[in-house]
Amino acid sequence: MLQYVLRRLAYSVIVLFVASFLVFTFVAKTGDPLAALRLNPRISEQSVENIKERKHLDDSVFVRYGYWVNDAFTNGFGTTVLGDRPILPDLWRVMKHTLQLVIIAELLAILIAVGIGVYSALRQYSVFDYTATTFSFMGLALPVFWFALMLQVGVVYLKDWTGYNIFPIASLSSVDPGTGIHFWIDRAHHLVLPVIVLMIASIATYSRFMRASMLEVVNSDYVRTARAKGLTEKRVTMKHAFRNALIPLVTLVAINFGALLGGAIATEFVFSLDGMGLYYISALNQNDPYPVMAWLMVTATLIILFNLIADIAYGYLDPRVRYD
Amino acid sequence: MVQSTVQPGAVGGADPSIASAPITSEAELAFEAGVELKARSQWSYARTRFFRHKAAVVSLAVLIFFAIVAIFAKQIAPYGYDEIDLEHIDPITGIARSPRLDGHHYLGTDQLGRDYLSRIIYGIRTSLWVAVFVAILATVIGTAVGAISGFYGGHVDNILMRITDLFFTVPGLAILLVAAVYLGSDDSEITEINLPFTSAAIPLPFTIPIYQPMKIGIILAFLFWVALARVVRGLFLSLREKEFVEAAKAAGASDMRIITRHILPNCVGPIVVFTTLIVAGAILTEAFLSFVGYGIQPPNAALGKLIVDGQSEGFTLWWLVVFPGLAIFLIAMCINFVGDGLRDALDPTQRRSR
Amino acid sequence: MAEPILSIRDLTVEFSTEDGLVKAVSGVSYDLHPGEVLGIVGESGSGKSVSMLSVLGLIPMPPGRITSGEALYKGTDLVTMPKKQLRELRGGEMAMIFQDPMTSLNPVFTIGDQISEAVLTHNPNMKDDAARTRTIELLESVGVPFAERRVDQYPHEFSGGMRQRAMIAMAMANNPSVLIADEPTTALDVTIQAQIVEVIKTAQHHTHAAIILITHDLGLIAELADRVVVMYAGRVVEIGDVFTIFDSPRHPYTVGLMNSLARVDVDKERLEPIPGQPPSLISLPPGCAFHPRCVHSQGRAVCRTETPALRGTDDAAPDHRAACHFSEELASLRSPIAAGGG
Repeated sequence: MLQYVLRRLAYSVIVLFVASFLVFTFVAKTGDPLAALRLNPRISEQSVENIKERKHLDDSVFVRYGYWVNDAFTNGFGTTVLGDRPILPDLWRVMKHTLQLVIIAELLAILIAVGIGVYSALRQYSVFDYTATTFSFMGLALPVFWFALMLQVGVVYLKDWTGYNIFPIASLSSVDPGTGIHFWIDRAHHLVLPVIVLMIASIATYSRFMRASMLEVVNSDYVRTARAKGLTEKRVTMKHAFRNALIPLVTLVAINFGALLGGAIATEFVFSLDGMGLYYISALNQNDPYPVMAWLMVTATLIILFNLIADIAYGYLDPRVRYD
Repeated sequence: MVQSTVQPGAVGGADPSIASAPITSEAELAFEAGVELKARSQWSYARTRFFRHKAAVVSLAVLIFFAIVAIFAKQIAPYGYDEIDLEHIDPITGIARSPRLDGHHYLGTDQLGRDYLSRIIYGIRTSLWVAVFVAILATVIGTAVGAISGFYGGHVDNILMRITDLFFTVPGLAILLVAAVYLGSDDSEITEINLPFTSAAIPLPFTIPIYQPMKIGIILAFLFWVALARVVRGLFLSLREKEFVEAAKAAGASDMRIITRHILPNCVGPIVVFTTLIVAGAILTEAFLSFVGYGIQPPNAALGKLIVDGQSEGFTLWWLVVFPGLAIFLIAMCINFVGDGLRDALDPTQRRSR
Repeated sequence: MAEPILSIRDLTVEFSTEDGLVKAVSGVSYDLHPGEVLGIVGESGSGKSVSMLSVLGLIPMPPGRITSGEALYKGTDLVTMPKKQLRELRGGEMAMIFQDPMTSLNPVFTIGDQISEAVLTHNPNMKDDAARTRTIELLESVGVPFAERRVDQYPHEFSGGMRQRAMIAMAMANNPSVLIADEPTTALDVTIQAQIVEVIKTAQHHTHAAIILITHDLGLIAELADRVVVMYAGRVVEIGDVFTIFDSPRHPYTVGLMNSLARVDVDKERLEPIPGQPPSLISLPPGCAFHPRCVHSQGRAVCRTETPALRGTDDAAPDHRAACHFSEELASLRSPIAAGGG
């Protein structure tokens, strides 16, 4: 098992290097982070040249990549081109925020989706089933950013009519959230709408999958054997069917993680949450390769780790799969 | 369940029947029991199954309606995309009008007095044709790569799969954004072919114009082909072991022929279904790109752009954000339903989802 | 003969499908006596499995329905029995083994776990380690070597034959009075098949259970069965003891089955299949279900209009019945139907 993990990690490192090089080349060659500065008449040409020198913007791509890798390991991904802000502390901060949002959304989504999926499968073709399926289709067709907007608009209109401000529509915390438990309650309050938005797509996907998986399992031979042994329907469903149906979901959750982060970008953008999504978009807006690269590397590492954990969990759940 | 194929003098030998497979659904039970198959072509069977799917049929009609509106946008839209109508402005705010039914501006106007219905129509047109372009491009590339990978296996498969692995380690949207920001912001022309990692280039004797929306389309296709390639690869991996491939090889068929004439037709079902998913995904993704400013640029219409333009006043001029999004939502939903109907029609062995 | 332990009377099972109403089983009746092996023979779709699955409550009842008939087990009707009671019978007094042991065993639980489950469900007061001991005992009795170690293995770690032995062990766990074996050897290699037959014989020898053997394999029937029920298109077409059925079949379908066998003792140049296709259970042919394929009927009107009833045959064998209007004529045919152009 250990060998397997090490092999996977080694392989991932190679992938990361290759990917980072490709992206870096691309970003470094096509963007000009100093464009805005050049347009600013108050900044002298010499200053711009100085920055170029210091950031090695004129060197070949390979050299620049080398500097970047060096920075990545020793200097916390280096600093931004404009303003020399160290990248890692910023990235760390926004990552924590995003993880709060994403983990809560995903856990809730899985719980709800599993419930819906299993119940739909057990009551196939019932009203509940049809409704759930319809909502799944709708959930998958919903543009995430638009839905976020709609919720915001909805809350504002609700406030107009009723005078109640149900949920905050922007940012992670109020202006003065207090400390300790008050801070966290305020944070939770702010996260309600973004979590709802982020959950929708996941619930839609997972519930359909769970339903299909459950249906397949419920009609399988071994479930029939379980019934033939005289087990109660409840035991048959819970012990034999449910456990088997749940296993493939692990893989799906792992695969979906990348898409989930994508959804987080959109959600954070609309709700102005100080998270990785917003960070990424502003980095792109500034045409600065360093924060963009840092972001990609961190995200990629997260995804790779997450996938690895999911694979190990799968091996634990399904005895037919053994890693050596 | 060989019962369903026609065999003259079916029963014989020490094995008077084919072993019964476990009964798993009522439809299979009917097959088990030897339901007679009427002699119909595969397509008419598929058509019937599709039309049994009410939601899919309705969605198809809606999509056709949208397509017609999109194609004949110039004729249908009551106003031009950038046409400012100063006659029917709102008496209070001075400019924007809320939706009304009095013959002008059914969906209202925006802050500059431009008819929203027309803008949305043009936006739909762009979205639809970009999405279709993306789907076709992604399908062609994805199928080709997946077929080669799955059929030949070995090193070729390995390399191709490692490349697709790259796409899975980073959120697709992130890569898309990078590409859109750095590549896709304006029209360009290909006058020479750049050699990667160097500054050298081979000049072309002609110029290939690439319009900005098409660039976005190419970038989007660049993201979507990967998943399809995986699916096709899986299909080819399993199908190439089947006996009919061996038979074709024994008959002397070339690899190309086997791939295109034997294996590929069996994959049409899942590929078509996946393509519809790509269309829906492309629409949604493009909308988001325009929303953050990196998608389709003006003067081309884009629904995402409409939304972002109206965002700041979305709380009072609600129609500015509601209607374009609603259009996206509706189209994507219809595509999903049609895709579901297609899946039912083309792959009857799968369980129906409704 | 002793009182039948299981009596199926006039059983009819239907399924509502998209394409119509499927009559999987139509008016089927047969008896099972204690300690005997009853073979049920037929093709796919003949209803042989459905008849047993339905009375045990293993057919999903929304699409499926027992529309008429009764199944008397020790005098009580299984069809009208409350679900809870039926459940207590399943795996206890009436046990079943299925065709494909790979898919019939839950892949995520150990073999021991699954067998113990069968034991504990019907003996709720038994302690876990007692159940484990019993499980190991059972595995040993069906010939699984190193049972103490193998009891903690997963189904995929067993070979095909071993898995089927484990399934038999699971079924015998609570000393059933009736064991139903649905195609027990079909998914196995021929050499393993022989082993499994031995296992079943041994199990029966020890427990004196009555066995219902559902199969299409006539060789298996010849080896194991005492009596035979031949089913076609959801109906019983012939019943009798195994020797009579093989020696002097009285239904054209049975005759066809016997003739289609490859024989070592008779010189044959070609195998003789039964011509035609099994009928659709949604639209059964009027009259005798077999008549479209029956060489013997020669187009006679009564075959096309009247469904023949099961009636006694002309030969000396007791309880030999066939559902054919002209079964007497078959007596004179000692040679294969080949003469009629099979």
